Amino acid sequence: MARESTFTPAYAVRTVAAWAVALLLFFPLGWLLLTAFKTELQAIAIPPELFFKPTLENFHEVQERSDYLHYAWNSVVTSVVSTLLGLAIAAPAAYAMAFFKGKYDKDILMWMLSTKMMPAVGALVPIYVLAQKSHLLDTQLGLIIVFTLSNLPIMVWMLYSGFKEIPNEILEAARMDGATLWQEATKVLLPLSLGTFASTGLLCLVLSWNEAFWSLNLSSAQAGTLATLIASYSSPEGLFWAKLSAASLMAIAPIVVFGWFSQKQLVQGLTFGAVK
Amino acid sequence: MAYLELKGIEKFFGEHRAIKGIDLDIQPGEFIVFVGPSGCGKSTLLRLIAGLEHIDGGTLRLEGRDITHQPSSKRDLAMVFQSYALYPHMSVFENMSFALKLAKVDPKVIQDKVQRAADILNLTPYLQRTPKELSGGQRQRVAIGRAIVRAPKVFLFDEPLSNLDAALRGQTRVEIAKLHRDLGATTIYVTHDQVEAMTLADRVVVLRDGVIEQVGTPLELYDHPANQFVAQFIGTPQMNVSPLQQMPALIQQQAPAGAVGGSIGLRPENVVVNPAGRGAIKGKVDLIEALGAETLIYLRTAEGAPLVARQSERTTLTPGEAVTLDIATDHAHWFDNAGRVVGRTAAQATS
Amino acid sequence: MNRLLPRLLLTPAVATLFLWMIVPLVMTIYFSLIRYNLMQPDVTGFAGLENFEYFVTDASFGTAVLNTLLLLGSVILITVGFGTAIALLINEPFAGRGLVRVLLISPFFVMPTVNALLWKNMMMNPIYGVLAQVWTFFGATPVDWLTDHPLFSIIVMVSWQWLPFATLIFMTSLQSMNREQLEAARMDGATWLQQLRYLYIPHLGRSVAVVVMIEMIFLLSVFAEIYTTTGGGPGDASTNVAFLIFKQALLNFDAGVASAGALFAVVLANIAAIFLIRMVGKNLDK
Repeated sequence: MARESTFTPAYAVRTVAAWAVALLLFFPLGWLLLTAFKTELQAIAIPPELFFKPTLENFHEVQERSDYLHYAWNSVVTSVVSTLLGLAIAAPAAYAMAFFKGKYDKDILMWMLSTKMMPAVGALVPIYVLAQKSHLLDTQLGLIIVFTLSNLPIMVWMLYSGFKEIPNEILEAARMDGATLWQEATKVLLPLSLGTFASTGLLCLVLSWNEAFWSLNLSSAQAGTLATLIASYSSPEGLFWAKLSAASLMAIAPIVVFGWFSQKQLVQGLTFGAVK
Repeated sequence: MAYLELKGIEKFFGEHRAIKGIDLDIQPGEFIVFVGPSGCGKSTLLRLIAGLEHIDGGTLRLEGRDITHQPSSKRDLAMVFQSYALYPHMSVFENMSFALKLAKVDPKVIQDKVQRAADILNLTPYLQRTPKELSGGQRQRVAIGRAIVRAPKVFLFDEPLSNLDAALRGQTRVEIAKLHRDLGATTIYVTHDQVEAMTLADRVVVLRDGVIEQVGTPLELYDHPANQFVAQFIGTPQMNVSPLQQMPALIQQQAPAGAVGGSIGLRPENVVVNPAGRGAIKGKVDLIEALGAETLIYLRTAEGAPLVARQSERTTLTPGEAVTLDIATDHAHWFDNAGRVVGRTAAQATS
Repeated sequence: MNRLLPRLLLTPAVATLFLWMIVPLVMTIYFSLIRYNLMQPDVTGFAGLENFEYFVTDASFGTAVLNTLLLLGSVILITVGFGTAIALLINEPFAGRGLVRVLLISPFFVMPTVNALLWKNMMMNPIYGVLAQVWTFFGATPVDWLTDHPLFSIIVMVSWQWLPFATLIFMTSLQSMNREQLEAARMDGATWLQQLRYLYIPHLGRSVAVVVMIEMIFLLSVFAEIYTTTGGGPGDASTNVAFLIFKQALLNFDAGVASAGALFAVVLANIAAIFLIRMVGKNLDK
């Protein structure tokens, strides 16, 4: 479709409007970004300073607080392990449903998705009691189990969708070439679905890292994640906004960046494929 | 003993009986073609032989060994898929050597075999490319190469030419025929195109609704079809099959007893068109198709039967013109009202 | 062997999810029917519907339900309304569209607790916050958002976080619109508004439904923001059902009552889930 000139007035208005909206909505984050590089005094300056000499002192201070690293480590461990564990459990299930035509596959898949649809708060009491009784409160393991199970339906769903994209005939060809099931899975299926695994893993990493409901309720000093740590800054302890910004920035930056790369998976995964 | 023997093969999809008891003996080195309309079960039958579907009834024997319940990987059969099913993440060389690698064959031997197959198929310049970088025709050759390298007991082809354009199809058909001549391997080839069946096969198996209608050499099927279905399936243009009532009395009188209430089958080349006034059977031209090497004349008899006549000469006839017909009834095929062939003389007995 | 293998492969996932679903459910039902206070382990016995009664007659119950519905409704309206508008705005290409998309999507990936503190301190603080500065700039007195308008503040925070989700979904949906249909309409002389009414809006209908349902499910559990900023207050002004359950469970340690409340929340969620499942099911059939 050819246009005479791209720069019609409508185009200009749209561009300006779009940028205005984007900047407005991004503003809080942008402000967070800026404040992280300010001194505390600059952070609470009235009127707010837009131009200042950036400093890294906040990041240093946050780094030196060993408890920040402790919580960050917990976030890393719980997110990564729960994602890997989830993939390990979800992959065989997705494989079975994608390549063996069972009668109940569709029902099983829908049932799995429905477990994700229950609000977390509905399970709060029993999970808390169970965790308490099995001494898993405030442990990494407890959080890992909960994160894995929370994300499992999404992982099965996304792996299943990815597997279905691989033509069955390619796997049949491998069978004819003499491959055992294991060889079929490792030499043909796996290389072809690496992308699916990566994007599923990425999305679940993001979801686990940001998980606040269970982190806040099931963990504190020992196994608390960054979500918990940040929440504990909520009491007004005076002038520490720059440091808070730095800490928050470090907590969210990697995930926001991952998020930029997992937009498509987000749409697929969180709407369970209802929107293409 | 047959090389590949099918006895009472059955397949159910849920309640539906897709393959209804197939018996077939295939000799070593034969090129067998399964042909039939969509849904007749030819691909299913091929997949049953390959082991990609489970055989629900009957036995399958290869060289005397019962392989009915053996998994595909152990049957020593190679399949060329309709969509080629090449491994997208491997190069052409790796695609072709995959099976041998799985069988832990010496790399030097692999290199040698793949090279030879590549030479036969003109794939040597492409060995390092991935399937993405190849044209449809090249991919097809890689699929064939993959099968050749394994030197299997039987080659299975599942409609390999249907994804190619018309020009390439003809070319590849010839190549496949030459390949068979050079390698002499037992081959089962599935197609819905009866021209491929006629040109490639040693024997043709015509299937309909999960049942074998007839087995025979291409010319046997052409000259002596066992029933109306086979008669009309083989041969282009289709054989003219008209109910006897729509034939002039002259023809009806020559019908054998069993054909009363049935039909007569005439190959287009057995219907000779003459200018009006020359013969007893009258007709009118509907349409002329001048194809260059031959001419097809679509006409209608006075009694209303539509017929197609074929001749190698050009014609000056025009639509609407009156003509007379010569019908060679000793080349006619007579069918009863259920479509079964009815014999009249020894020359017309079924094979 | 042919049937056994897929079943074996499915077992770990199915078994664990089944436990994850059944065990809490059964326990919740059980707890809701007995007297169970974590601080008073010796108080036991069948409570019948006592817990339910207690939960429902809690002074805060009505407010909590109302707040939940308000929260749900407002966030859905805001995200769907603005989401559609923004998606339509950026549907056609323009300079820097990729970057704009990135900027718009970012809030969704921010941790809820960071989200909460960001707004509480940076934006809404009545003295140092950006909003306060802006208010002063225009000569008005700054508003103490979290104290005077707690629920509204929460709504703002949650909407800010979920707007990108809705926008992203709608953007994806718009991209899949049939270009030829649009061109045909344009050639037929349809104005932009007419195109909007007859083409865009109906096409978006399905994704709006999906967004509404998904948000209904996830927003019922809004918790972190409330926990981190208002603590449900002042009083119960910003308490929703989830927070109320939390209060009962982990502040009052009354597992029985909390469980009764949880069942209530589950029923609410089920209503949305049933529709969503049906829609997903239709999609799976393709």
